[in-house]
Amino acid sequence: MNSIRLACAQIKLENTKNWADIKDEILDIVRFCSTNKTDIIILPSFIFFYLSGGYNNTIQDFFNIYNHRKALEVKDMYLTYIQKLCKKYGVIICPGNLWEYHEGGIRNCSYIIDERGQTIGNQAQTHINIWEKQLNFTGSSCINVIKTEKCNIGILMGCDCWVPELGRILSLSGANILIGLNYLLWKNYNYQLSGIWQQVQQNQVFAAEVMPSGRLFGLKLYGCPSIYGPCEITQGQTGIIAKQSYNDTQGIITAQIDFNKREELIEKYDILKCLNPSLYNKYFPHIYGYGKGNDN
Amino acid sequence: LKYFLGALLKLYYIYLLIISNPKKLRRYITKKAAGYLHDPSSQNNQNNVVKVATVQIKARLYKNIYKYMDDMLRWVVLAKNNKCQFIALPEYHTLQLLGLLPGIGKQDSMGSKTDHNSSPSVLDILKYIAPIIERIYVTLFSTLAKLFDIYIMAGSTVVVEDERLFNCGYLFDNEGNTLGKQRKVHLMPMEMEWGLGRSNDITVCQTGIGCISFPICMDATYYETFRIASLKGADIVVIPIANAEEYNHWKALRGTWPRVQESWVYGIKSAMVGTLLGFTFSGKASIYAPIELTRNKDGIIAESKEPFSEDIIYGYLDINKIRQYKTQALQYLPFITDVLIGKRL
Repeated sequence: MNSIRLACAQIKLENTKNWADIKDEILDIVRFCSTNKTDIIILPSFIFFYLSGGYNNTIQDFFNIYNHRKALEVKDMYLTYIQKLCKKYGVIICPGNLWEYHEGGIRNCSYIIDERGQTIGNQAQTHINIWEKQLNFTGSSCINVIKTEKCNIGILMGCDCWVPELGRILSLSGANILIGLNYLLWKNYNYQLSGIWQQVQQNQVFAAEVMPSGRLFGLKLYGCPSIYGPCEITQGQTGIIAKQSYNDTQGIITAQIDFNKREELIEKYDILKCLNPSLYNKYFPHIYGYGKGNDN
Repeated sequence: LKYFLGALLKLYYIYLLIISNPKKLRRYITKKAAGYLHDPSSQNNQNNVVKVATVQIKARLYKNIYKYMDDMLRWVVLAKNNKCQFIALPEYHTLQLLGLLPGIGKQDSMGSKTDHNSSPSVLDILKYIAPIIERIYVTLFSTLAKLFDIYIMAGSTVVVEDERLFNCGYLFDNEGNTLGKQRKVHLMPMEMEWGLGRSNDITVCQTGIGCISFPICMDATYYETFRIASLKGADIVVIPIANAEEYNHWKALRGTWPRVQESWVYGIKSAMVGTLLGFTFSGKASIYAPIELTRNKDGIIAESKEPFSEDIIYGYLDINKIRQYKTQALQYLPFITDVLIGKRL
C-alpha cells in the first residue's frame, strides 16, 4: 500500500526538566512510535535549549552562552543522539529545530534523518519576524524538497508556515508532505487554520504541524499538533486527520497517510492544473516563468 | 428547417434587443426607485470607515426583465437604508435571466451532457444571450449606483469579447460610472468545458471608499490572486461566488477567509444559493478581516447564518487600519518573491 504512518510529538518545555529528562522523553516517543509502525516522527522545536544549558536563562543570557562554538557542539550532540535512535528503531525523524550561526547571523534550521541514521536534507527558515530580526536572525533564500524512499518532504519553519509562496513552490517541486515547525503564543486554532492547514488545501498535499507547549523565555506556548490532508480525503471533510487537544500539553498523535487517495483526488480535480501562469508571470516573472498550469 | 430556425433566432434576438432597450430600462428603474429615495442624507466616509453590504441571492429563472430589476432594486434599497456605501452581488446571478429564452426551464441541466446533436451547446446559448444580459446588467446597476449614491460590485455576468465568452464582473462608482471590469482569472473545469476564456490581469480600482479589487469565485482558491491584488494596493477584495456543491464549512474555509489572512486585506464574499438549471448552489455571504482586526479573533466581521436562503449582511471596514496592518506585515515579512525579483510591485 502506498501509505506511511506519521507521528507528531508534543513536548512540554519547563524549567524543572533537564537534558536527561528530555532524552528519556524522546526515547519513549521513538519506542512508542516504533511499536506502532510509524515511518516518520516529527519532534517540536526548541528541544536543543536543554543541551545548551540555557533553558532557564533570559534570551540575552542565553546568547551570552550560545556562541558559535557552543552552537556547533549542541548541533553535534543533538543530531548524533537522534541519528542513533533513527538507526536503532528504523524510523525517519525530523528533530525540530537548531539555531546555527551562519555568515554573521543566526539561522533557524531543521533536518531530516533517515532510518539509516543519515542526515538526508535540511532547511533553514526563509522569512524572519520582527522578534527574530532583533535577535540577528537571517532568512535563507533557498527552499528545497527532501526526498526519502517513502515520500518527498518540505519543511516550513516559524512564520514560513504562513507564507503561501513556500507551500506552492514546494508542492510544484514535488513535495507531498509538508512539515510545519512553529510556536504559538495564542490559544487560537484560527492561526493554525490560516497557516499550514491552508497550505495543505491549496496544494493538495499532506502536512504535520508540530509545536511545543510549556514556557519559553517566560512566554506561554500554545498550539495543537495536527496532521492535515485535503478536505476531500479526510473524515468529515475537515482537512484534519488527527489533532491533539489544547489541554494535552504533552503527547503523540499518529495517522496513516494514504498517497493513493491523494492521487485519486488529483486525478479528479487537480488544483495546480488550473493555475494561471500567464497572470503570475506578469507580476512574478522569476518565479512563475515555468509554471505547471495549463495556459490556454 | 435549419434556415427557418436561424431566421427565428434572429427575430427573437430583435425582440430581446427591444425589451432590453437601455433607455426604457433606465426609465423604469428611475420611476420605480423614486419611491425609495426619501433619505437624501448620504453617509460620509467618516474617519475612513466604510459600511458595506453583501448579498446572498436565491437563484430563480426570470421570464420578465422588470421582475428581475425589481428584485435587484430591493437589495440596493436594503443596503442604502442601512447606510451602506457599498454593496456586492454574487457570481453569475444574471444567468437567472436565461429565463428570457423560451423553453430554457425545461432543460434539465447546463452541466449534463446531451446526446442530441441538434441541441445547442451551453457555449452557443450563452454566446447568443450574453450581449443582451450584459446590456441589462450594465444599465440596471449603473443606474442604481447613481440613483442611490452607492458603489456596486454587481457580481459577474457572461460577456462576449473578441468572439470569446468570459465570466466578468463590473464595479460601478456612486455616480454610475464603470470603474473597472474583471474577467475571471482561474476557471472551473466546467467553465473550461463550456469554452470560456480567462483573463491574465487583476484589476484594482481607486475609489472614494478605498482601493477595491474584485476577482471571481475560484480565483480565491489561489493565494496568487489576492497577493497580486494586495500588492497592487487593494484594501478590499470582493469575491462573488456561485458554488455548485453541497455546503461544507471546511471546504468553504478554503477560499476568501484564508486569502484575507495571507494578504492583509478585507474580504467581501457574495453568494448565489438555491437551484438553477440543474445546479444547486450554496455559500454564505461573508465579510472577513485579518484575525487580529476582528473582535472575536476569528477573522470574521459578519457572516450569513445559513448557506441556502436569501440574506444580506453588513459590516464596517476601517480602511486606515487595514493599510496600517499591511504596512507592518510587509515590513516584518518580506517576501521570498522580493528576494527573487528584487523589488515590490
